[in-house]
Amino acid sequence: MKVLREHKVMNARNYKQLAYRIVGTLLLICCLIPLGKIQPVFAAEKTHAKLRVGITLHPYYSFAINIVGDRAEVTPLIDAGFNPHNYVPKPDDMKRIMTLDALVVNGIGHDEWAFEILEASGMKGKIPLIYANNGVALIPVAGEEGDTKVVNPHTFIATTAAIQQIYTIAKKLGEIDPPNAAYYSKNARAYALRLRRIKAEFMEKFSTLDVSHFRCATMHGAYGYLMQEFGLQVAAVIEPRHGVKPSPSQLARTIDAIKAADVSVLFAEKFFASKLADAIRKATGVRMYSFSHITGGEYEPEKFEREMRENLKTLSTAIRSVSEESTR
Amino acid sequence: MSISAEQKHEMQHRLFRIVPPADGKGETRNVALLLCVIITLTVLLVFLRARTEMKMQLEDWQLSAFHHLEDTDQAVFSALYTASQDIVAIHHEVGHWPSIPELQDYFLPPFAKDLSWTQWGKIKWIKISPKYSAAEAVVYMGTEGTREGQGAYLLIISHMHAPSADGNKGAILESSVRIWLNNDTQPEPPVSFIPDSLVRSGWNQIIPYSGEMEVQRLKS
Repeated sequence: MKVLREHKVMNARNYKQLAYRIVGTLLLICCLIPLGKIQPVFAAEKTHAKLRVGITLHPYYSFAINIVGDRAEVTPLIDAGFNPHNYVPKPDDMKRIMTLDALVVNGIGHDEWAFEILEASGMKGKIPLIYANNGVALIPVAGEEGDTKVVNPHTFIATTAAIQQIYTIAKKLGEIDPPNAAYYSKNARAYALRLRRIKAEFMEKFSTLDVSHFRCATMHGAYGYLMQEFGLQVAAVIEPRHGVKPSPSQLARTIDAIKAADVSVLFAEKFFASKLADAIRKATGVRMYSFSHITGGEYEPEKFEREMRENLKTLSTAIRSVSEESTR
Repeated sequence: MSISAEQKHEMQHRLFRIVPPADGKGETRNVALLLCVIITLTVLLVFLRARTEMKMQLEDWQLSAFHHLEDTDQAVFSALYTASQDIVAIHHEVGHWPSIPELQDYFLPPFAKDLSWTQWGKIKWIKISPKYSAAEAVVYMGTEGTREGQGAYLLIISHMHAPSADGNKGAILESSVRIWLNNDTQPEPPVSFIPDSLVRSGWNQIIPYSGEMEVQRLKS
């Protein structure tokens, strides 16, 4: 009788241990799924016939779609309408990334959220990443204080650096999809020539203008590459980081720098109204213009060309106004 | 029942116990210990999270485009660096190394005579065809820039073709692009383009800080 009771107690203990083990295993699986150690069975399957290329930023959509034509699909990793500077990954992004065959990234500080999505979805190391900037000769953010030079990640707001990225993307896509490598390379060169023609068209307009008195500052450190390819220099950058307002002492130093460098033009950012820009304009008397950051709105094949053209038009207007004033 | 003196003393001892006032010594020690642990952990985490410095291994005859060049030299370097890819592609298409006017027809900076050309000191470009035994090569040399502190530039592109059975050129095996800077704006065109000879003539090789290097730094 006593033996039977002990046997029942042992059984009860075993069941309890078994229950603990099951709960523990389930908990472990739940922990490992976000870490990517276990692939969930409900992960979206890649059933598409064409190569599906993901992109993180709007310019990369334009670059990729102009390279692949109709021989591959281009899918933005995040929905349109979000600011990539402070984007917080969403569950839909995880689902989307699982359907991609490759992902084009900036990789040098403008789309760090893409790496969070890769990590959280368990796709890190499972899809090839195309680092668009691998071949770009980087430049520092203009107007930084002190000796510290910080890499400017805005390589996509310029023609020359964009072309370098277009070639890198085309080459890498060719390695992933060898039958279409020659087609991608040909398209990349044709697209690059189109971009150069846009630049040349404005260069021709600029050629009659006197730029010797042109000194500019920018609200955001995004336009260094654009200015560099026109041989223009940025004397000061107002925001220490995008959307981060300078401290009163930083602002005072920047205003002094603007006055000392005889800056006549301040470039703010389109779609981002800034009271700070107005305050600087009042304190220094600079003229204000706005550039597109090319990272808002819908994803469109012609977006990069259209918005670069608008930026060059803005630059042309600014240079003309300074040039005309200096000849009076 | 009588209680002995000894038992009485023991009972009193049990009923009355003198509790010393808290002097806070233990509490201070614990808080200090906790602070030490927090500080140590914070320092450790900061150390582990700290990204490596942007460092490049350079020889004494090399310059970093990112760290060492002035704005104009940096801009000309960036333009040459990108143009080199187009030049290789044009060479592949047309079968010869493009001339300066051909490069200008492609609107290729820094050769195209536009605003940037003016801003970058109206550099005079010439094409040189060096004689290499095994590799095909071309050199573009830019001199007489008018910007203050500006130098002279050399873009050296060379590559090897794979042997082909039909006698034509095979696929490109290796391609190399090197960009050099001379502080003198009017140096003589080099006779030899091997690094030793260029260094002796006052040329410094420019090394880009590429996106690939930055990605590696961010990963480390």
